[in-house]
Amino acid sequence: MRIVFESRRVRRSVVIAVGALTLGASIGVIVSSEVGGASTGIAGLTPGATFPENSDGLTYGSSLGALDEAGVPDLILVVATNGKQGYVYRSALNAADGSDVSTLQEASDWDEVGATESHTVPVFAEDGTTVIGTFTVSPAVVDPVPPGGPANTR
Amino acid sequence: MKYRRQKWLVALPFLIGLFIPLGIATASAGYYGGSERTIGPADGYSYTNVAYLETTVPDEYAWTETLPLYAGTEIPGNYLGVQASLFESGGALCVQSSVDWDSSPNYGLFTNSPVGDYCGSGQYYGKGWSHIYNGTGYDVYGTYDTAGYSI
Repeated sequence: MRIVFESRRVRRSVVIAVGALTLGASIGVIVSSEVGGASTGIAGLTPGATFPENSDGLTYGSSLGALDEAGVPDLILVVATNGKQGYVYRSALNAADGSDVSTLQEASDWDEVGATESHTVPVFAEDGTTVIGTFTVSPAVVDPVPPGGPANTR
Repeated sequence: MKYRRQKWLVALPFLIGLFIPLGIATASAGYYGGSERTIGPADGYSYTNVAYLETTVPDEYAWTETLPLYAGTEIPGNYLGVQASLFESGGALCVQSSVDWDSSPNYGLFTNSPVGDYCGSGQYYGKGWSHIYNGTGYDVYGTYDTAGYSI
């Protein structure tokens, strides 16, 4: 189908309008992907990533990409309650959040006491010795899933 | 007069084009799931875990769910612990919940972790952890992290 415009002026107006619409939509798509859209991930934070070591030979970095304990560095990158970024010792965090539980009885004990309280651990600079803040582990809010319930049950 | 008309001819379509994608992005705020991961078998039980990120104000947090691979399978008490984590855009851990177990037999667990105000607004990633009893102790399995979304 061929569209015939009455005059050159109308055709020029249509071209300008379509051009402006396209430009606006392109900018809108770019801005919306930054404001509310998904990103494709963070470089170096994928499963199996290797971490740098500090002067004491301790690995440090993010635990975001970890799929098991082996993928978590010795010093875990966190945001302290004062807004500063630093590192917590994995061992300290595990003790504070109940990850170091190793028996069914210990799990039961943690469930009754430890999981109901906030726990605070020190946040260090990359050297692992200079304290720059604290990190708080939130109490757990856990709910059982109904029998045979679907995945989204909250 | 002619110039003013041409100005609107450019401005109006430009604004329409600009705000339609932004409107779609805003309307799509909600909760977003990561990919599901299959775990096990561990001491006779297999599971799936998944992380979600909730971005609908005022519900802004990560939550995670671990279920038996076969729906309706009853998991013995304390065989399963769950934990949710929220990460900011640079990969720093913002908030993490304690691990929680259920001493009673259950059909899976879910838990959440609120946003820490000190992390501010920006892009976040949700992640969860499943602590699975293997007969002698616990193995820890991370969920696949969610994609990053702005909160």
